[in-house]
Amino acid sequence: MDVVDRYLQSVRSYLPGKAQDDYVAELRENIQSQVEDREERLGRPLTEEERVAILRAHGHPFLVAGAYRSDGRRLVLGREVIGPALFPFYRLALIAAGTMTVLVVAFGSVANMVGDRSPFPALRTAFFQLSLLVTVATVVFAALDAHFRRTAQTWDPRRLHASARSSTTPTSRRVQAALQIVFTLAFLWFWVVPAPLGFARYAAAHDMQLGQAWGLLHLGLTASTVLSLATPALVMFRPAWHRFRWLVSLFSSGAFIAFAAAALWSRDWLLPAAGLDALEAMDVASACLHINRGIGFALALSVVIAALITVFEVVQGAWNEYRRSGTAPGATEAPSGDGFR
Amino acid sequence: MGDDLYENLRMELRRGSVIVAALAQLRTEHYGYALRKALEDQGLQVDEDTLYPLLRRLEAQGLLVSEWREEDRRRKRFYRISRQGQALLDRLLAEWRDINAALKRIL
Repeated sequence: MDVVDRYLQSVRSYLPGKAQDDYVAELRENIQSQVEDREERLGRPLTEEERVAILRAHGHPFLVAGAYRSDGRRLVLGREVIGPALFPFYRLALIAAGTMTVLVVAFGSVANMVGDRSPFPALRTAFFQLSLLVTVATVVFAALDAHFRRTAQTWDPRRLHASARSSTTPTSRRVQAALQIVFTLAFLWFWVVPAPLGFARYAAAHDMQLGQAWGLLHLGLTASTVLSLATPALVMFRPAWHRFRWLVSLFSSGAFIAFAAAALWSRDWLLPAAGLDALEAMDVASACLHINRGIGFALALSVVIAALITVFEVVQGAWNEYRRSGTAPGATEAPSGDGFR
Repeated sequence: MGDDLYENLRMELRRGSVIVAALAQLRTEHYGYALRKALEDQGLQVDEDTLYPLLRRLEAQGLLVSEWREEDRRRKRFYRISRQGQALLDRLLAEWRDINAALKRIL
């Protein structure tokens, strides 16, 4: 397989399935015509260096495929901040941010109305959430775009061998990681800011208050989510440290399991609100007991599943590490095998 | 910063011009590389990563039509302007001539 074939295969890996053959066939024909035209003018076959120069002029496979996929739209804030290749992914992130905001509005409005409060604070919260998400998405994608622009000057088509056959290349993994960071930050904000208020209001509307178990679970999920950000961050900024990703996963899941187990032990998710008379307190305590059992059962199931997944990931990571240590250094996976550093 | 600004403005200026040039050149049928060469021969150099996706976009917008055909024992995708594209090109060229005339008077 020569350098042109590897290049086309790499472009193909970034294209949507139904369009792959058509785009790649046309691109192949154009490249071949250009090579033949140059050879005719020079009166000799092109050297590999000259073929490489033609491919470099076409652009990195990720950007070429992105240009075919895009409708040409870009984000311009004084200057081009997000180019056409990344814009479809950026738009996807904004759609997700919008969806998340609608959920927050719905959740907050219902919680407020149940608590006999105006639904407008939920709209205010939604506005801040949307602003925050749009800002985070723009910053993350602008940074990624700037990274691609820098590396577009130095990539080498001869280094396309390692990932050309794979549908997930290092570059597409970076884009996925950027999306993952945006979505995780969105969830984190939702979980830390509006969610506790919503739960507290819901409980108060039913003469209940949140107990210690809730606080432990909230802290555990927050810690676990913050730690899980390290995985996409490693993919984006330190792909060579891929062997540590399973450790990150271990810490992240470990935090969730530890706090969830403590919460299970504590059991008091909901308690009767203070200031109730004896009869009311008994009724509410009975309702709390049923709800606490239900939550406890669901959480116990989650902890078991999370623990099983964690054990599997740790064993798999350790096994991969063992296999790597038994092979020659050159046999390890090249993290930037598409030559796009 | 000065170079960046110049480059951004130059790109903005070229973006629309390349569309007009491609539509005008495709009044005669061409395949991708032949079109690029034809534009280059007339003094307009367009990067490959700009021109080929642009052809697909213009086709998706109904301004071009294309077909796969064999030439020199190889299958190539030939593009030509559509009726809708021709109508749009006429309007764009009228606009272009007005801008050009105004710029000539200003400069």
